[in-house]
Amino acid sequence: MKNFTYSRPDAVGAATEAAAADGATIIAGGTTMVDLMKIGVLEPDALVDISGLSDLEGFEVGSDRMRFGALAKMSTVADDQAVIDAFPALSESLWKAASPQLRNVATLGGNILQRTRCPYFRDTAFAQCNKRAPGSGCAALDGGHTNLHAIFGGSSSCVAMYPGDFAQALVAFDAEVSTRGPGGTRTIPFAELHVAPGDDPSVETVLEPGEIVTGITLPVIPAMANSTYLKARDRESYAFASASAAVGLEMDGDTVRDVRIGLGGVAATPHRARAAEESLRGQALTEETAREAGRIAFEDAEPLDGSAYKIALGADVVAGALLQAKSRMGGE
Amino acid sequence: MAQTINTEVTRTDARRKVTGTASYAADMIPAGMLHGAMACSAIAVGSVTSIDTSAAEAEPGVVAVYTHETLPDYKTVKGFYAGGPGSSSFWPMEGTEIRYAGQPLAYVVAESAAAARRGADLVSVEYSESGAAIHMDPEESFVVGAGEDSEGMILTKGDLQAGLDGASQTVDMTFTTPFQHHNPMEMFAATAEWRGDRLTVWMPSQSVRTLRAGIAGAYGLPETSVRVISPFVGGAFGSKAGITPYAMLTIAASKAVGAPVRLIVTRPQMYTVATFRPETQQRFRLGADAEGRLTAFEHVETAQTPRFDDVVNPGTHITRAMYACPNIRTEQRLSRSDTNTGGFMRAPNEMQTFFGLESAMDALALKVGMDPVEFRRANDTMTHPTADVPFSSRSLMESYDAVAQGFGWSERGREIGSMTDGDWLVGYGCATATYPTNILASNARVRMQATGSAYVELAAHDVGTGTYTIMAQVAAARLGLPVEAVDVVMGEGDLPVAPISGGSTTAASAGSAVHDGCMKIARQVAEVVSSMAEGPLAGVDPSRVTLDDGTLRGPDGQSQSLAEALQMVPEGEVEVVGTFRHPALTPELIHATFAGGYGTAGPVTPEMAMFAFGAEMAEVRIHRYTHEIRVPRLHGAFAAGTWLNRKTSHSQLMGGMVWGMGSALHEVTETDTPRARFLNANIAEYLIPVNADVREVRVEMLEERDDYVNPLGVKGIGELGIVGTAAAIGNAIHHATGKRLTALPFRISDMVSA
Repeated sequence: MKNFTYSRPDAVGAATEAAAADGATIIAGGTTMVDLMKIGVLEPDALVDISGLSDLEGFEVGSDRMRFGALAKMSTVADDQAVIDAFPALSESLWKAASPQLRNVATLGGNILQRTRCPYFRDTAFAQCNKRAPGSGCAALDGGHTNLHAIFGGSSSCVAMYPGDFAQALVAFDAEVSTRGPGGTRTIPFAELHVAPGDDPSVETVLEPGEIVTGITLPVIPAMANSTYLKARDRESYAFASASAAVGLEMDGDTVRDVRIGLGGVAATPHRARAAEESLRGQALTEETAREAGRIAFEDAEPLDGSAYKIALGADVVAGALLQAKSRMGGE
Repeated sequence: MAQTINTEVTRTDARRKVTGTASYAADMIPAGMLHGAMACSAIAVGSVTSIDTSAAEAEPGVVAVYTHETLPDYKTVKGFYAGGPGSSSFWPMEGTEIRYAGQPLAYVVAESAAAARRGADLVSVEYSESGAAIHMDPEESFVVGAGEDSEGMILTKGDLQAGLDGASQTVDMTFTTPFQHHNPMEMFAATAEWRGDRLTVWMPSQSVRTLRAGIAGAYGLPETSVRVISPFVGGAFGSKAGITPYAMLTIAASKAVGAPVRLIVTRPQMYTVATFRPETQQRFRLGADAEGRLTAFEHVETAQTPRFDDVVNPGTHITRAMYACPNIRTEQRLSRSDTNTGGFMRAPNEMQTFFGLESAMDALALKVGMDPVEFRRANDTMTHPTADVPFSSRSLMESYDAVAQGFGWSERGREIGSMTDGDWLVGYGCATATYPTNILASNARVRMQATGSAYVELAAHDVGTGTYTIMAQVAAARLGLPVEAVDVVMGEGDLPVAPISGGSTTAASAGSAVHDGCMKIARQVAEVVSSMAEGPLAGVDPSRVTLDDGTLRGPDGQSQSLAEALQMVPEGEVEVVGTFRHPALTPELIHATFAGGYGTAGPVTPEMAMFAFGAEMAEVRIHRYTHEIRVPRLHGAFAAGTWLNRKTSHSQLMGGMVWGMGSALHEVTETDTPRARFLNANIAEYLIPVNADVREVRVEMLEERDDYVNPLGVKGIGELGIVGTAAAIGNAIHHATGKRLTALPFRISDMVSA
């Protein structure tokens, strides 16, 4: 690990200023950052530790909005009864991520900015990785192992997958992130926070140098109460999604009034399946329409050899999540 | 005295281990110790054209950077598969040649571990790269030392083709198993300290004798000049058996820098600097008559091997012991690719071969129309099918019957896909487990004091299995002492010779040496008390005195406790060296073990075949929407002679079954084919079962008596539990879904219909 300086500002303004310096990086829970520094993927000159900004730890679930501080811990939010009651998919997406040890220290702000698990990004022995070393190429596309790679949103430069779970609940339910940077504060629709790899996959978000995510806000909508997060993974805990779906339903009798579908384990950035949602609005939700929605959700997928299985899997996961959300309504 | 064998005894070191006070090799910090780190190759095959160490040398705290050009007095040893003690025949840093990805190229010594690792990061290497293939090509394979004899790589009995032609049903199936890495929790580590020509090495090891003899030989030192210390081992599973380059590099660097050096290998480097389970292909052609009796049995195993070693772990020698059949053919093949040398990983001959065999048997049972358990019963045998000697004991069907009852096998739906529970498809599967009883020579020094204490010393190892405890139990039982009164010292190369902790041999072989030591103590004490004027045994023929768990018994019912009799001995104590030399051990085998090697006899001797057996049953569930495969129940029943300690035995078997589940569902070292490199070299992405995956694992331990294997009647159990688990799970998947999966591990991606 390269030597670095370390500071722990006690105000957001000071943190923003320190983090804007060349070579500086923000660290919060550190569960991704320390890992990547140890294996030489990230080599910051300066770490700006924002974990002392206790103002950013709180969260509240109101009747028309819910707001989460960026430094709220994954486990704290996942376990909160108000969150569980109001938006089960959000709680479940946190619960089904990582391990208890990681959830106890990882923050929500850090979680949404987690880096890809692409093995070529994470092993510096591979000369080719446009995300790690812009312009060097892509080992995955150059005959590599692609079981873990994106079937949506990749480019000819990069097919790394966004690995998160929580983000799929956010993207499907119109979340916004608030930030503070050297230029002041702003609000960014969550769906616009991450950018597709395009020609320069080293740029992963629209955040400017020094810009700190301070919070996440969601409008409360009826589909949240009947929501679920279904995650397919090769072991029961502590595994990234082979495919997952954050789904919420609002029904009008037997007819779908509103439906939300976010897809994990399949895309380069947090991914909302809008066409699949559209196919269900105004329809009855049956095994058949659920499966059709799943099929539509993956219509435009562009798999590589290793990731082709995700199309059939993802479609089944969407169908299963929709039916699970529907079955939950019976208990209300 | 309470019976201390065949009972549940808590590990004597349990409290020290869970409170962190047990000292492992890397916990020893000699004064003035420096830290080592390795820089490893980014390419798989080629050569080093230049190494720039200037940036590393300039890093604060870095003391020295060594390369193939600058490391003086670096010694190597012959590889295991060439008859030596080394982990590989190819030694890095002897020249510019690069033969596998992750090969050590430079060694940094620094004042802190952080500085050493940073220094290693800063070593800059220029390469000349050649093409490389990480996977074997089974079409390009060969037979090592081919010969048509029972010990050779090809064996034939009867007429295979006639057996196939005459069969009512046949299967011809090919299975594959992937590269796997041991991933012990305790990292590989070595600390070396030179004082003149005397060297001390602290290193987690499965064979301190191999290390001591090998290192002494390499440096031309008498063995007495080399101390090897390995008090506890935090998991080994075959990965800490041989002498590795990282050890010899640390020894050389310590000598060069003139200070003790400790190296702790990083987790990613653990995938390339030692051994692994090679990938394999298993082809089975089986035939059975209408009654379900095998008429033909062919097994061809092709295993990956590097360019520079022939890694023969002959699985066909085990599969052919399994079922009665008049026409048998087995063939052991290798196929080369560009990796380091593979080796032993828990059940190195059995795990992958029994996945194939027991899956093929399941498929054939289905074709014949028999229940899979009854199909095994129809082919059970008390005679080794190719060696034509009886099994010393074999409780295969007793194991099946016991496990079937507890598991509820009779409730298994007859039809494929006939069992469901909500969104889950349910299936039951079974498979056979076996493991050979390997025999090695062993000594043990045993001392008993009249004050009621005993000491046992031997160069055995506790690789996490509970060896300290069971050695104490054997002595306690024989000498009539409580377990706490027996002090066991192990894990040092200058102690009395004991076997390598491999092949599930320690309990049986080293335990038998401890047993013999106790018997010798009794004989010496009997000689003293029988020659005395008074006492219960006065005047008795000492050769007719027996030891009955702490009591000396004369031929006519006289008796005296051993502890009481010891009071009569002038020294107040007796010290002996117990030995174990099974009749099957030839002088050559005994010599090999005493020279630091692996002189194993068995499992087949001219008189008997020695194996432990078991049966495993799995309930598997596959989710209709997520296609996840889960194993809510895994049951096993095993018979392996005497259970020394029912608690640690249970743990061994259960741990093996859990690992077997990992082999079935999780474990695979992923590869990058174009660049011939392992990909998931960390335990976030190299999946192993987590607690949530391990639901009900039930182990039943059957009673079995075997007087042939050794005086204790013990068969090794360290590896038995893993054998068969993957097939039981695969067979259950087939029962649930009709899908016959032939490649480990079974993943969601295999279950999704295309």
